[in-house]
Amino acid sequence: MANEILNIENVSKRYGNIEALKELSLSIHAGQVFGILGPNGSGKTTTLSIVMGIIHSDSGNFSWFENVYNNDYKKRIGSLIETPNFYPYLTAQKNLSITAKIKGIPESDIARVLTLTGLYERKDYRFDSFSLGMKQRLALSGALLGDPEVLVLDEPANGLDPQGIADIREIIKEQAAMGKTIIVASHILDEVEKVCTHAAILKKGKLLKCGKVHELLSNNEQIFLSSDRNSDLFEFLVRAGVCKNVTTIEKGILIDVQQPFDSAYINKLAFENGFMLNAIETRNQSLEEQFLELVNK
Amino acid sequence: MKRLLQIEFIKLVTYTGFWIPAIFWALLFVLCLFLGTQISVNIPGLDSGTFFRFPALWNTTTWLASWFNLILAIISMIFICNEFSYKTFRQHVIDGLSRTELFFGKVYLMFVFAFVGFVLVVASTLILGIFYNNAETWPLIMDTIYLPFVYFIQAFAYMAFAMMIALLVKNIGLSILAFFGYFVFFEPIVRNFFPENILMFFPMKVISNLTPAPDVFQVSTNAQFTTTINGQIVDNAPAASFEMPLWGNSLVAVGYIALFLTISWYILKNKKL
Repeated sequence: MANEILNIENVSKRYGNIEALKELSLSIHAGQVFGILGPNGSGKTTTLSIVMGIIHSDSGNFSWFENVYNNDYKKRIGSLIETPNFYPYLTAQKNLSITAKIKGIPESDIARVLTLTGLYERKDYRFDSFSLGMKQRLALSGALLGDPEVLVLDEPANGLDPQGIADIREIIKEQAAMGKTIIVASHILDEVEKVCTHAAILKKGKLLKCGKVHELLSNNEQIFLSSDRNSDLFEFLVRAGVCKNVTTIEKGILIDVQQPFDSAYINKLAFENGFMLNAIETRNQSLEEQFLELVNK
Repeated sequence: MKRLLQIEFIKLVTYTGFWIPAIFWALLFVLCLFLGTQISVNIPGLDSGTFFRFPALWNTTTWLASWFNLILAIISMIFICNEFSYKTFRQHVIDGLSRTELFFGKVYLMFVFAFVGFVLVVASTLILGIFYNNAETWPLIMDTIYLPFVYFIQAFAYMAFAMMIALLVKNIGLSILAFFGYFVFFEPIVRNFFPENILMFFPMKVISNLTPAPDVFQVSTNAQFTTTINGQIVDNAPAASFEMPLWGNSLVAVGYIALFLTISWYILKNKKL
């Protein structure tokens, strides 16, 4: 097993009457791109805030780099939590100087990260002259400063235009290819699906599911069918007993096949029983659909 | 320490919200001193030059400077409240400063402010000294040389109090309001319900007593008083018995600084940033 980067054990947190986190346990290992998913208010930011030391948990423990809590671990982590927090009256360059001083990184690294996020030409502009997307890019620059081995990113695509989102995704992929461990919290599932190797799904502070993304995904293969007699086909499929679940959707029928049967078999079966299929395709249920299914239970 | 101060300095060098009150503070002080030299006092036996001769000169400058300590306190509050409104305390912790370092960064900064005040007081005293003193009064410079140091304690004490309020309230407008509300209304009113030997221990009382008004005035009124009631022996001593000596006052003030800083540290340690 690779080195454990972050271990969270039974962490709970309450805000008044609301339980933001209920005994959450997670383990994140070196080299993973770990997505934390959940609808608004599911505890993603709370989790990251606790492990970054800005709020105290009510109970439970966490440890970075298989170590006890001490503040030096932060030098190995680049982090962007919730909103970009900078001094509005300082330039991009000066704002990052502060971050560099805190982390003990030479100032020369600032130009590198600003180039990486496409902000280099704007380095002498004040932070308050930046658009939301540029602020987010600056925050990402801050996180990348000093080339840390772990990145903690909370909603990194917040406020970015499609190009910006694609850029961020590229940066995350590059960093992951360099062997970095990346922890991303997001409610944009597409983002997670495209970059993450592992994911955990939270709802109201509870862990619903956790595992490798392709495992979370591949379990549910669905087949889409369509013929000229959809309602008869539907009845036939229900009676045939080869499917777990049959649903009529707009242009046809969606079925969850039971294990030994595949699309070729279904096609043959339909043909033998007098149904001419004009469409048959297998579909991987997207993370989004699975996610909604889980969360709405 | 050097690193924490460097971080604080990056924040203030290009910040107009700092330079405007800071320049305002220095200019007002120098201007008031200058105006002071222009006032002629028409009391027989007292000439306004007395205020600007040692040993009274130290009294005059520190007392005048103490008027503007409130501006220093406000500047400190601005810097602390900014960290909350920009959420930069939060970012500092994320980036790797401990909460204790956040605390010391601000304490060092207040130390620097108090030191700049100290330097300004000493410099203006020496410059004024050149104009108003002669070979006879120059040696008296050492008589009250402790006064600028007491001024330093005072300036720092006001800022420590301001820091505590700013950390409690977090909002700059409300902090300034709370500071003045306490300083001008709350404490003076509450103080009145206590006997003299207790009220002199109230924090704002202790701190403001550190820089007493130049006592040439008091001396001369006492002198006049004894002469007007001629023939009678007037015992002056008991009137001042409730006043703490300056060194005692300074010690209590240092105690208050310790208290304010401890509370500030405790708040910062436990607050959600």
